[in-house]
Amino acid sequence: MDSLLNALASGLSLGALYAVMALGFVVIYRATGVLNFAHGAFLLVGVYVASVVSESHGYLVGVVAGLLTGALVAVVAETVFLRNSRTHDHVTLTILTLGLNLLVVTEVSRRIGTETLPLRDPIGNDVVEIGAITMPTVRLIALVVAVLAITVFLLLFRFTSWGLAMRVSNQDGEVAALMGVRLSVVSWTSWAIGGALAVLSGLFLASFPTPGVTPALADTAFRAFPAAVIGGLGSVGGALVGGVMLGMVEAFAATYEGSLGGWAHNLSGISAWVLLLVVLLLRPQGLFSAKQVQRV
Amino acid sequence: MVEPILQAEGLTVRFGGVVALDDVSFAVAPGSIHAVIGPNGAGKSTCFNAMTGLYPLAAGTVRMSGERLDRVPRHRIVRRGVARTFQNLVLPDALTVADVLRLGRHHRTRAGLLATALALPAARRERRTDDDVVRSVAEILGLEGHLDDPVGVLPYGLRKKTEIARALCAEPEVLLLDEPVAGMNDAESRALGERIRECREQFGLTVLLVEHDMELVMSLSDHVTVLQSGRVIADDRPERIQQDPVVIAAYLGADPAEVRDGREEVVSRG
Amino acid sequence: MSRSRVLVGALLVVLLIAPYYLDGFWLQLGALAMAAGVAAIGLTLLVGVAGQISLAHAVFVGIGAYGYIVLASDSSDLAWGLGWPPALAALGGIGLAALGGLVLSPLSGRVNGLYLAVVTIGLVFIWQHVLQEVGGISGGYVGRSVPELDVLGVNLGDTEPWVVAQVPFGAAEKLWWLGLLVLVVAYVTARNVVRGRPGIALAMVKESEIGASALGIDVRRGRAAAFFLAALYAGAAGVLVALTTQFVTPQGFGFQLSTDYLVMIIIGGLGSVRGAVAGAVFVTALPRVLGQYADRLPFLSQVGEGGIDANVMSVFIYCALLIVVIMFARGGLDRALGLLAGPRRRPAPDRAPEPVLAEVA
Repeated sequence: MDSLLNALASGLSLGALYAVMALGFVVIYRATGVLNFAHGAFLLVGVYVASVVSESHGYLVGVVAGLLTGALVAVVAETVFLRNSRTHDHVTLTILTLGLNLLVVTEVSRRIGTETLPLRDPIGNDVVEIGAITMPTVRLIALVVAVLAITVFLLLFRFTSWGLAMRVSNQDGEVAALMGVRLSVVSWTSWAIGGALAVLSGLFLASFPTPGVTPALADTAFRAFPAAVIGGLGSVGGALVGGVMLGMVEAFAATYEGSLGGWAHNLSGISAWVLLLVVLLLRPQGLFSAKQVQRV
Repeated sequence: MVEPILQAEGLTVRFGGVVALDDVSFAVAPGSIHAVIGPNGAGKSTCFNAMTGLYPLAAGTVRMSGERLDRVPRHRIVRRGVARTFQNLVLPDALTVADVLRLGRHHRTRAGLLATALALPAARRERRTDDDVVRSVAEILGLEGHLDDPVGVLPYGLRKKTEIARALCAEPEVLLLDEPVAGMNDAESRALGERIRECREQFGLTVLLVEHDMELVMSLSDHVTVLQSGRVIADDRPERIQQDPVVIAAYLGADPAEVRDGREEVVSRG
Repeated sequence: MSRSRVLVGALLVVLLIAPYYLDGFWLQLGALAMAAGVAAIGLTLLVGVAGQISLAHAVFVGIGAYGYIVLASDSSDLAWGLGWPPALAALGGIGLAALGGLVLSPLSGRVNGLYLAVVTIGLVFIWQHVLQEVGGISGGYVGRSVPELDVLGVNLGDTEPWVVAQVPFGAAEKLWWLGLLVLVVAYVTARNVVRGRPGIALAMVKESEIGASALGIDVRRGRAAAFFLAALYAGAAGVLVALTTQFVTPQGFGFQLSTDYLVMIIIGGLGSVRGAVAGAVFVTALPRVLGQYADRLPFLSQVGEGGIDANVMSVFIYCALLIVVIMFARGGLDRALGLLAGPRRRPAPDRAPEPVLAEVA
């Protein structure tokens, strides 16, 4: 029973972080139709900068610097590389982001080397106990921050002209243009938000119980893919549900894999992907994506 | 009347709450050129798409030579003898015109991965037959000089013809043309109309077309169905359609119900 | 005879006699490049022609490699083996990869474009997990050595070198020729497929699913077939990779390898068989050649020093090239080769795809 509650709590907090990451991913997809393989690069470069800056200027300055870096790198990716490409084919542009990712991750990994960089958050490895639940304080804060970030995002999405444009431009660029929305602005702001959200989740994913910033952190961003796709690519609600589902499944797998016998060893590492395969085999468009009818 | 080759009965298509087609029925006589016309947004293309299985029918049936077409998966429809073109050209730019025309032969050929990869005799034989058809169709439409050009570099008019030629290569019984002369100048559209008529004679085709160009429709077609707001408001020979007050009013933007009363008066007086 | 045929003929002759002159480093590089070429040809059929992104190519290359090893090896305490005759095992490895492709091909049929990209990343991670957890296949942390190939009693390893005019030919030379043979077969068959009925049908599927189905093309089957075919070529490449490297570890068949293959076919020119081979040669050769001459190149540091070493440098170069090809130079190496072979028609212009999706509730 205790382990069940603990799995729930840790799954929820992990899921909230995945949801934040997937949200950024979906925002980018909605704005530009590109599957952003550079999400891991945004995350890694932001968290790396946060770690470096926090050494001289303290944790909070480091966090702000990291978030800004993530947003900036994302904006550069969009405005310099994607927008100026001769092709508009989404498959090719998606491969372009794969190349950008490799470039950035290789360079940051080279700078990090074999070390594990600390993030110097003031909470460190404190643990909170609520009833039978024991969880790292950082993960509790992560949950709160993630919920806040998601709320702010949803408010923006619902009530601002940017949000309106986001909701419309995905379906009809012309309508958005008629409403006086400048698609180029929507597009780079979306990338900025996507980049910052990636770093935000990365900051917590690199904190306790994780020892610190390593190049492997970039791979964590791969979690955004199944989270976003399980919900249905392009669906904001789907990304949130998908993220939380993933976090839960992963936490439960981590809690119980030991008692399932040899075949389940390290199952938590791939649980997200197994879940994804199952969902897509049953519903090829994801859980929440409306059935699309193609127009000719 | 002769048995219709293609028949739509009570076609109804809904998109969410919007009724795009409402109880549309008409029959296409074999060997005829049948036009579907109507103001913008009348549901002409929707009607085509519904008949070729692209949109789900809320109600109604489509029959081809008496057999149900609406239950056939969309990639099997061409095997029943119905080929079509699209309003927006659907052509892979990198392929040559010859390859695009060969695409029209897809359902009449068999060569699979293995036979093609190893260039087995059966695959090569098939290819030769295809090439004969491709060449003769290309000659009819004046594309023979462009067979080796990538279709993406051709001017619009030729790409439009390539799309029609591809449908002809399928050797269909019924050819559905979605706005075949859109974007062409008068001389070009007249010439293409003439080609369509020739194709009908040569292949014993039945042609169903959606078109905006009234002059072409009236000179080319044997029968006209007029749609407005997803309903059939007239269905008759072209010379009578031209005089139909309901149709005239529809094009001027009046409510068909009001004019219909007027038409009855005309008829009773006449 | 056209100029391009003469060039191809001359190239083949050069490749055939090359082992007389090349040393071990270049022979192994060549064999690896040819294996990569076979894999890249398969991938360009799926991604370039059919328009489905797959990041699982390394999985099928891995299945080919491990399939051959497990079938051809003798069983030991650490790892499984069936002890088949190696030639049969090589075919078995290819067959297993093709079978894997066939089993997973419905995914490609059902799930389109970008969704498939995500699913196939999943396949890579699941595959890596299987290799790491099932020591019987991978040999655990020890890794696995690869048995020599033997075709109808003719040894293709170092055990029985061929001696021609007093020059001994060992595994490196033999595998070069084997790679060349497989590459030529892969090349010719793929060209036939691309130009034949299935290839143009897939090009149409890529352009428009609806347009394709109106022509009688079964979109699902077509995509599934492309996935299967890609896996088949990958399996053949996997057997070659295993034979050439003589020792394999799971890390060699991960996400990075899948990315490499994608980079190859983009640099080469998406959808072009010839370009895929050119891209494969470039991406395979770059890090190895830089590594070989690292001590003579002043801007390169040694691996592990934290500076820009040969591996990092080659990633920089090929990513930059990838980006340049996508952004400015459509057609990639394929177009460059085309110019070499003589004047060519203008390429099709770039146009934004028509908006095809409409939300219908």
